[in-house]
Amino acid sequence: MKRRKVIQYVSSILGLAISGTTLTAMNRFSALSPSRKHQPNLFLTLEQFQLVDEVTELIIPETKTPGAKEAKVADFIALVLADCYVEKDKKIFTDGLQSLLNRNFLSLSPLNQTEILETLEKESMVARSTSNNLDFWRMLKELTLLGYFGSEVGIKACFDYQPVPGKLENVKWEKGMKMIAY
Amino acid sequence: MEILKNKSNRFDAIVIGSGMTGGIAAKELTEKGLKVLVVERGREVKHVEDYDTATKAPWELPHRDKLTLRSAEERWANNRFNNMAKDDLENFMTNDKENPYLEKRPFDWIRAYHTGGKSMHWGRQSYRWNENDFEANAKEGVGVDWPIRYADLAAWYTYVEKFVGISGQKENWDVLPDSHFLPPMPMNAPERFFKEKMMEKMGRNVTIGRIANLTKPEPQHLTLGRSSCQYRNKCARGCPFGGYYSSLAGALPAAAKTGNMTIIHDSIVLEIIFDDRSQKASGVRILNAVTSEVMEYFAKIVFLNAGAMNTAAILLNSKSGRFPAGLGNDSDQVGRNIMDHQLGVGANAVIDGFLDDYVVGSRPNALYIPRFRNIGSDKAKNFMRGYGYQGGASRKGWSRGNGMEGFGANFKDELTQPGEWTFGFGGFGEILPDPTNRMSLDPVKKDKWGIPLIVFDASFNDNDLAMRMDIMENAMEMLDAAGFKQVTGYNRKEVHIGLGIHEMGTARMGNDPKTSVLNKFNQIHACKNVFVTDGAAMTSASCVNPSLTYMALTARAADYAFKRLKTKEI
Repeated sequence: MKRRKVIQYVSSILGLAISGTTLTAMNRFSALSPSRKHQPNLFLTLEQFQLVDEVTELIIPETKTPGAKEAKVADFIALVLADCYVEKDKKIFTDGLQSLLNRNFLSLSPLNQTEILETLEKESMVARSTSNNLDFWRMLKELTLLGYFGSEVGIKACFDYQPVPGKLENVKWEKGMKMIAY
Repeated sequence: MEILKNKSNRFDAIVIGSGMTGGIAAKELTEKGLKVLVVERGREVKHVEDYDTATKAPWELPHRDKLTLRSAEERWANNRFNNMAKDDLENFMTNDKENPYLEKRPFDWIRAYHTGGKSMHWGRQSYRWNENDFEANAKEGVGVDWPIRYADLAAWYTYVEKFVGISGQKENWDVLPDSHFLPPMPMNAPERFFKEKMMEKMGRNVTIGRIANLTKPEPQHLTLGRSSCQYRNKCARGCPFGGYYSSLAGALPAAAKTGNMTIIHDSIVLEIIFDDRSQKASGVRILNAVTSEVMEYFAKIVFLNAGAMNTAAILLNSKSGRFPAGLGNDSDQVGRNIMDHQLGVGANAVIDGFLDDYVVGSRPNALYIPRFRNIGSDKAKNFMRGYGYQGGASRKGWSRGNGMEGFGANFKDELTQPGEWTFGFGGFGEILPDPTNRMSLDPVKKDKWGIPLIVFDASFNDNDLAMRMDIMENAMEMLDAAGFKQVTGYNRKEVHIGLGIHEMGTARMGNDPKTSVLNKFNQIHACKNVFVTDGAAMTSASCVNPSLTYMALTARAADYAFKRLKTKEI
């Protein structure tokens, strides 16, 4: 974030004079702003990766805002699967992908694809009501939401991203407003 | 290992630890003109410039809020506190694999070995104790009596509060004495409704959390470069604005300003050196964590502020002819009476309505419901003491999608709109001093530097478990009384003593040297130039968050130490 942008942003929101201390602190804030890039990750095979790319787009499609593909949700899922899930859970995920591949998921019509995912969701909801165990759909949906609504593309498209709100205020929610992300 | 002795190793005072209380000790003693050495066992973290995750956007943390398997293994203890080992904080929390401890009974030990210690990551809730908190042990025959009363500490609370900056609402309640307040943070609409209902239906008080965030900085804050809270709610990563109090943002810069502070890092205190001739401590023996070099430093007084468990470990490891069981341990109370606050028990609910209410800014704070159990005419059937609640209302965001059916365009659009309001709160309960809840040093097992490992042997007792049930049941009752729906109680079974991160009691204050370690000015009874002013000093735990009391005790002890030093009484 550029220093001036932060300052102007906060000034316009607050409509207040900013103290010298706050300006100094703003400078420190902007000096810290990072620019780290994700590393590519090879946990998923190309075929699995393409499948995840398509399925996540069905969960969060492009509408008037970008969808999961543009937000690189599949990249995020590949990274998190590799780094954060134990073998048993990784296998739940890759087994789930394999069963979709076995049904030639990618060559099915959008309608058939949607039907398959709806069935997966119903099964998952039933399983969840009786046990706390992970299942493929639950993992996929959770990671898709986190991958999309935690991404730069998703946050900036869907929400009002305010890294430095500068105030705390109760307001009335009106149609057309965007939720704030911090 | 070579022991280096050098005249430049002499100071007026040595402060062991740079965290919540070490910082205050350093500030007070340097401002009085003493030359002070601050010894920090962890790495150096520079205020602002080393807060390397503070300004990261959600997408700049590669795993977002997912825990990596690597961090879970390295930070096996820190990870017991839900969010301490993830991308944003892991490099500030101690690597438990490299710094192991042993558990006869499980103890959740959350540590942050670096400049400022846990004051960088604390919850910032700040409450004065009340008069009864200091009297209850004596009245009820629990543990030993406090050697001080509220009146002894009241002025020191005010003194510390002005420096730290506490935001809160003046209420004039005996159970929760007011502090010197900066303006309170606002409650949101459902919280104001809840507050009214609690008074109307149950006669219970609710106030906004009293928190060490600057809602309106005063000159003493601005002069240290601190500015207003920006309502980012990412405090635990360190605040580039100095918006909340930490040793890094407050006490250490104030101490550095005097020109009287020397601070060394990566320096583990092996022991406090006891001098038989003067019957006083002469200094400390330190191991450099990087080079393994051993050094000695000397001073007229020592402030021991290593954090309650490490403070006791240093005392136990400081064996001498006079103190074969460890410095100041004539009473065999060092390491005993571990206390903490219970947490991980409470209730949640969903709120109807308020759908046109929203909040701009992310409040780093919640509501506080002061103790009502065993106060006045209230008598709980099956437990002593009481608890307070912390929590509040917020609107559901996109993550509610995990529990919802559906996917696709409409599902996506719905998740970009705010969801229902929910209300959640949990209890912080008082734990009684029990000499069998203890830590000690393992006679055989040592860490990679050859320092004996700490062994914990403590657990909740029947009083604690009965209180936990009451915390949950009352939380549910209150949410019902407010008219909220889907009320769900929780009482996490995997919680152990320690998880409150309010560990205390291992070198308690008392009037009698036979049953306590410290006197009423936090001096070791039989070694008057050593002051212990962190959580170890606590004789009982109250149910309110403890840091403010630790800081007040520290400022008071530093004042006393300086005066006695001037009159050559220590």
